[in-house]
Amino acid sequence: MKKSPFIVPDGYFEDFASKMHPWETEASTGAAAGRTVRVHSVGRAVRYACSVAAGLAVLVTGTLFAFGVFGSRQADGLEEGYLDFLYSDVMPMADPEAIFNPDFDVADSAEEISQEDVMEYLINSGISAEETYMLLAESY
Amino acid sequence: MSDEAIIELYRSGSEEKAFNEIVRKYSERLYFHIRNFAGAHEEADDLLQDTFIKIWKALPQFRGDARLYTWIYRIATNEVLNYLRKKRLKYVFSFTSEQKDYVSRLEADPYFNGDQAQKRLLIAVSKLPEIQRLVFMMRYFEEMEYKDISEILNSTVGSLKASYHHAYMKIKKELSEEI
Repeated sequence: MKKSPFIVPDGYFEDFASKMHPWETEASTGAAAGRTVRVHSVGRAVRYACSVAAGLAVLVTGTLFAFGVFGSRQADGLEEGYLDFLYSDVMPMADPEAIFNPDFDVADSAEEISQEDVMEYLINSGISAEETYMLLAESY
Repeated sequence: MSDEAIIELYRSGSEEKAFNEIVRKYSERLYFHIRNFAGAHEEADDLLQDTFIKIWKALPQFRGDARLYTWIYRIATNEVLNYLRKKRLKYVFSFTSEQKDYVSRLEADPYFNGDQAQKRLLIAVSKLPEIQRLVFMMRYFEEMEYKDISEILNSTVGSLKASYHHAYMKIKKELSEEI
């Protein structure tokens, strides 16, 4: 063993050997020693409980903060995105001409479409005469 | 008195006598084993007392599977490891640097009798991870055999040699950076 850079007070080891009698402590303290252990155990249990409670508080606060601040934004964003998707169309209009002609006028409501318009559409859409007749008969 | 004779004495019913022999034989070695980790003499004294109380309480369960010497060292080493872990936790909660505190306590330690080189070495060793620090202290300062350290730390000789090598390289780097 190398020489330690630490020293001890004079007579330390002799004193230590003379006072190191654990059986005396056990005999003299007796039941009191048991109580001391119990107090220590309760104290330790309380410290553990406090540590666990503090840890849980941090965890819950962190979670609430994350969901309260970022979560609501995420929810809003999700809702907006979903609504945009729901009410969007891949092609803004059915008529391809509308893509190239921004001023293309689309009828605002069904009332603006006359029977003549429907007939013209059916005649020009390539539907057979029989089908056109049947559809017209149904509509009248 | 040999370890075998102490155990024999204990088993013959002279428990207190046997224990006194253990204290007489091992208190100095164990003190310096503990002192290398404890920040002050008072802490080392407390840890040494706790170690011997545990030895006294555990002696009835000593079956002789391990040597008394390594068994006693294992109890002392466990005390040291528990002490270091508690201390680390304390430093975490107090937001103070363990390293700075160790250095300042060493500077002010009235029981430190080493030179500047020893002080620098101790500070460098204190920066090592727990197990490397233990292995280095036991091998370098206490000049223990790897076989004994492996019994105490319940590890293989190969891994201890690797730990010692890593510790040695880190200390060498640390000390060369200081110069």
